[in-house]
Amino acid sequence: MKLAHYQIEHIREWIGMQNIWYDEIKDELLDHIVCAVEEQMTSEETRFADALARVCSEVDPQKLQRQKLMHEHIKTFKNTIGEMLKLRAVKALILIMSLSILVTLGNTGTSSSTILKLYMFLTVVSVFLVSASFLFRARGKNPLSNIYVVSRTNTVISSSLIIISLTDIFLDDWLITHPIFLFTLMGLLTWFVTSGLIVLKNSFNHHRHATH
Amino acid sequence: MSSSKLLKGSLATIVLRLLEEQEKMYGYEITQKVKQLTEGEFKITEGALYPTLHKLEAEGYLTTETQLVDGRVRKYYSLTKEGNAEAKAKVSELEEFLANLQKVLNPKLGFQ
Repeated sequence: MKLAHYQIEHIREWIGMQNIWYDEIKDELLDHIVCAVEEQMTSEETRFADALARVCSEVDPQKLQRQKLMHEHIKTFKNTIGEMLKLRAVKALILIMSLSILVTLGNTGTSSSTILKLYMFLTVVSVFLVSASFLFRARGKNPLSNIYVVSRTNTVISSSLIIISLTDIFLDDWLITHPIFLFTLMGLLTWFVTSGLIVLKNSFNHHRHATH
Repeated sequence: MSSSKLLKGSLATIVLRLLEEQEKMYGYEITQKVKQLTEGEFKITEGALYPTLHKLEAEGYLTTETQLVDGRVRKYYSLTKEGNAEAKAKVSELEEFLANLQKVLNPKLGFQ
């Protein structure tokens, strides 16, 4: 039994009240509910209102949205890392520059411990400041745009903080006594943070132009 | 453990397998196909199916296209090239698991 236009519109209205941001979830849910209601009305000979009430009690639109958001975050994370890895020229340049600067700093008599502490502090501060500016500029946009920006920013912030925290907890003392590894790690972290911020800036500008 | 929990762990494999057989399918069609093949024993809820479809899509195993049907949008899923390979690998893995499970549940069958 096919539903009438007004019955489909009734279902569309119900879905509209479920606070779903994704149009594709709304469309998919509408098609699913209409099919399920039609099937119940045909096989069990129930009235539209009863079939709809039963089908709607079985669906959880918010759960679908939460799952979709999680997959989007993971996908964005992978894409961001992939884009960062593509910045080969930037990567090589930053690595060489960082190592040169750090080795020079290391030869001025400054202790490895001081360099490490100062470096970690400056990295955390710069990541926070730049990321905060991206997030601030993304304010006022629709939730999905914000989530996209937050998800990409989070890729750089979280990964950087995890590396810094793990280094501080497990490798701090060892790195201080092995300066070459210390400088290599700092070079790699500098590349990661810088390329991450370049990717964020490019994607944010692209996203801003696309949404205006 | 209820059969729905057992089913949940195999849902991605079931979806990939069905799409291997059929060129493209939409969500509700998949639930009905599973119900029909198992004579109503397996009932896939939308809460389990759509997250699985979205996950497979995000991983690049499925591609989608939309069609207008009776005034509403219908989203069809089909396998990508990677999805085809994944379907074969997943089905083979599940078959192997079931064979081993069978050996554990019915040890005597292994000597026949």
